[in-house]
Amino acid sequence: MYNDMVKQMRSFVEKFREIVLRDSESELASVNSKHSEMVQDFFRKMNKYLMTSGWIKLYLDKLSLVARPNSLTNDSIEENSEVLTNINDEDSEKFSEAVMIMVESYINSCIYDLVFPSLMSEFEEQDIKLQKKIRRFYWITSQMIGTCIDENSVFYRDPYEEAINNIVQVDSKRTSYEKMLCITNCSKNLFNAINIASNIKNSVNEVSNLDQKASKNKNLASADDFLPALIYLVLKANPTMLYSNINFVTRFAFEKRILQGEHAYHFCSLNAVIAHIENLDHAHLNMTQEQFEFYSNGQNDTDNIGNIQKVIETNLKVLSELRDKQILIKHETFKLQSDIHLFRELIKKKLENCIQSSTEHKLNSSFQNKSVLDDNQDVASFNFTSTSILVPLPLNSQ
Amino acid sequence: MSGKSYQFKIVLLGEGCVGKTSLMLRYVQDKFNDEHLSTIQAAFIKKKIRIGSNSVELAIWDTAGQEKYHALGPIYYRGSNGAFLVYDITDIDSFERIRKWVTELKTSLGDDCILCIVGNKSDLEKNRNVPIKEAEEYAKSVGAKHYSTSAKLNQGVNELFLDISKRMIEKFESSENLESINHQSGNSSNKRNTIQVVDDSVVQQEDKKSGCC
Repeated sequence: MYNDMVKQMRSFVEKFREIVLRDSESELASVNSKHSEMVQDFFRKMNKYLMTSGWIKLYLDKLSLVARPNSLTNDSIEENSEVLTNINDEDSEKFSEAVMIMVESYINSCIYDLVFPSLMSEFEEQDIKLQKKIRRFYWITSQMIGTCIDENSVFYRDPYEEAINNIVQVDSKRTSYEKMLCITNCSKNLFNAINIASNIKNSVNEVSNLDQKASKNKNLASADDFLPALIYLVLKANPTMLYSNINFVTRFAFEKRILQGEHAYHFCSLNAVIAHIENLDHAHLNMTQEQFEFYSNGQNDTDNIGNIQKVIETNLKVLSELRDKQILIKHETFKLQSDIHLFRELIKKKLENCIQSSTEHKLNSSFQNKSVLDDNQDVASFNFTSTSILVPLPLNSQ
Repeated sequence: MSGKSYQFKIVLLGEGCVGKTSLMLRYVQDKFNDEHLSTIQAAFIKKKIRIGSNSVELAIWDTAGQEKYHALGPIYYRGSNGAFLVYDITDIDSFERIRKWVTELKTSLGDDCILCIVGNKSDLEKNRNVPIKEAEEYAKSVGAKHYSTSAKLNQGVNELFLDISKRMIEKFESSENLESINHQSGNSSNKRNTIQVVDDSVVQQEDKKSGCC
């Protein structure tokens, strides 16, 4: 079956190439969607073939063979084959899904150069417009969007920057599977950042008013937090050729995957974000029409002052965050100190008990035990003095 | 023994603060506590359940409830098999918004989508602002089912998900039969996947009713 599939894929690519080359002379915008229809048809056929022929079950035990595709591999397929090796023998559905990903990746990488340029020219205008639009929105702050994410935060800079990298990478990948993977990774990193942000907020609140027993510790990011954050991220990252890439995925990915699964969710979220940015207006940012236009037109005189103000604001923000961090560290230090203290008491008590019980039994060994106690007391007292170094000076409240 | 396996997509719609996310988390968390530790988000969650001999994989899609993102709804609920329309029983506005979604869902998905109208926060019964009779009657009038849940006390949550799964299976089976008839007559419908960018007019309409949460 494997050889058969390879043959089918090869002949399809050949046929497809011919058709694309023939069509390239006619400059119709609909040509690309016709090609996508062809590819989709092929995917459907392949999927049906996989589902109906009983080959999958037979081939599951010969997995290692399938997982090592030969001459026609490229990087992406090799990557996907790792997915294959983890597959449970019973789960033929997962298997066929993985095979479909490979089929899709193979077809995608073969036709990418044929198809993407025409896509690019089809969506060039939209892409440029969107990028210009995002660039003009440079003044939007995270408060306006209503997200807790801020790129200057010291706490979650890493996942945030990683998320930006992920979304920028989308353009460099050559298969729709990899493109979707990038989007999913971006979302995951962003979720991490949101979680850190909200947890920091909670714990700072907790520390600053200790009497309250507010322990909403594990706050998981929901869609309510996520969508604004993703909007903010896309505005800040301004990835290139979003429309072209998204349309490549919608046209040349196996359509079932765009509708179902985690990748689909994040892909849809990105679509939603783009739609939102396209229609962004003053009401979305909680400001009046005048303010919105004032900012959008970017009056030059006020711009400088605005920039300075922005710098000051971000610096203040960084400072206040550092302060939060210090509060947390201070709190942790005190906790550690009291822990050490408790530990010392505990050990002391245990040893005393031990000594008491052992003196009753053996007079000889009591001497030995006592020396252990002395040692321990030394260590404990050393710890105590050393922690006092760690206690920070009281913070001056601003 | 080996029954069928189904894959369904459920979309969660509802104003912010009505407890969509808690509802979902309650359902997933309760049984699979360990599994849950690995999740970092509560926006997309998958869960496998067994109904009789069939295995059902539910993919639950959370949506942002803020009014300003209302126009993005279609992107999320496209192709879903079921929808939870969640409102807060103490908040009449959140119930009013349900109506908007119902009409939208009806026009874009037709009858393919199982609708569940969920009155959440039933633990706050004494502050109820949405008469249960009205809600139930409304649900009936649009061919949906009405449920009362409390994510906080874990009341009615499991029943809700179980019920929708059963109804989705029924729907799926009956549409499958229809499709096979259609196939014989030789027309296969190819749904195209184009991005739906909602046009401005819709957005502006939403903005007039400015609400915040």
